[in-house]
Amino acid sequence: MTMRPGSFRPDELVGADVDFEDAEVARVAAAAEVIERSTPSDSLQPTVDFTGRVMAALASEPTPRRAGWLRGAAERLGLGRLVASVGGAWAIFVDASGRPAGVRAAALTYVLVVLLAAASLTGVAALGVGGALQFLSRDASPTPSLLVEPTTPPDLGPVVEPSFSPSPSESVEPDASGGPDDSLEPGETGPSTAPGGSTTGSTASPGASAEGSDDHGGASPSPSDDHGGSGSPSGLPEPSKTPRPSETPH
Amino acid sequence: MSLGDRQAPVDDAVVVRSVLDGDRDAFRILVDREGPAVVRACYRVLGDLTAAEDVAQEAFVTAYRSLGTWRAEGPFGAWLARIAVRLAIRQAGRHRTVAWVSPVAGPQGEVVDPTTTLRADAASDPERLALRGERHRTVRQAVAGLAEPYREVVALRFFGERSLGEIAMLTGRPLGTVKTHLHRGLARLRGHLEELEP
Repeated sequence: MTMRPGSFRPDELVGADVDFEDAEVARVAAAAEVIERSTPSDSLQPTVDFTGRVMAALASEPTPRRAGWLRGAAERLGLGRLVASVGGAWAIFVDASGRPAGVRAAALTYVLVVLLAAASLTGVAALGVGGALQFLSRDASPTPSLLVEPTTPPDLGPVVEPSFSPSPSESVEPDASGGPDDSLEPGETGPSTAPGGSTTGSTASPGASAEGSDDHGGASPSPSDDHGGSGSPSGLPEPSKTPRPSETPH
Repeated sequence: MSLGDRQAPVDDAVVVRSVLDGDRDAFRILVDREGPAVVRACYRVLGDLTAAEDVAQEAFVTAYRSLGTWRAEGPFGAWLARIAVRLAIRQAGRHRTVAWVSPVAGPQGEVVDPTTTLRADAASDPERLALRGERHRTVRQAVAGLAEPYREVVALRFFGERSLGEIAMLTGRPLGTVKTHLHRGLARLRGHLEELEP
């Protein structure tokens, strides 16, 4: 229910983004007049049964949903419903029967965003599972305990502040170093490269190593990350200054 | 009491809400109310009453399916007119229909079959009728040949009977921009319509 605009008036163009000259507006108004004179009269009415035809065509249509797929996704959480909403959005995008381009673009965007999010989550989950399995398998390796003992001076007391000492448990790769020489301070070492390095084994005793690695590995997110076993002792503290992990207070 | 039983005019938003709540018959109010304007708009684009009613029906069905997306920020009829004009322009691009005579309302306002009118008037002034049909066709083709966004603005203003404010709201463009588009659209049309000027 709106008021029809009626015949064109030149003052309708007042306030346009561009200022037009009066002569130009007059020419444009003449064109508008031609259109209006040539346009069929307002008395044209649809045929009598038009409403019935439309309602009959709607009979097979499902009841329209309130806000379509977007509200459906927001209101009804759940994987099945999420998939259904994506399906609905895709149907809107594919359906070319007069839907506004903006609606179709929004539907496509929704589908792409959901797919991207799903792909990201799947990737993260796969990495997480893979990392966890690898971590567990490393944890089970008993090799580190064989390596550390000869190198750790037994006389050094446990008084050395753990915060300044490198973690004996870290970065020792049993095969390469054979001792705590390979232990690195997280802040000084580059990224480790040997993923097969043992985790806690470089310490004198496995129990102590766990604690030591926690204390000194501030820069590394997990003990396993620092077990690069890069083999380069540069930048490493002297072995003699290394705290003796075996005497780390429990 | 169903919404359709009411005698007083019902607000567009109330009707739409009722349809969305499952009262399909409430949509009849909108069809009754907006049908003539929608058919007229389609007819002005297509020049054929049968084709215009077909496209108008398609516009109503499309609007019904998308009813949940109508935001009630403007008249329902304006939203519907945009759908109808778009569909009609698309249809006009598919089939070049030629209508030589415009339907005319009878003395009591009833619909008169165009072919009957043609037969009745043909005896008196067939040349005039043919000229009128030709003018209409020239205007339709000129408007249909405009580039967007000029075509949509001109079609909605003159065929869809929408104000520039409504067009601005429908298209999401500033009113000043819509005015500029209308001006430029008419300026481009002028070359095609010059021969029709009095």
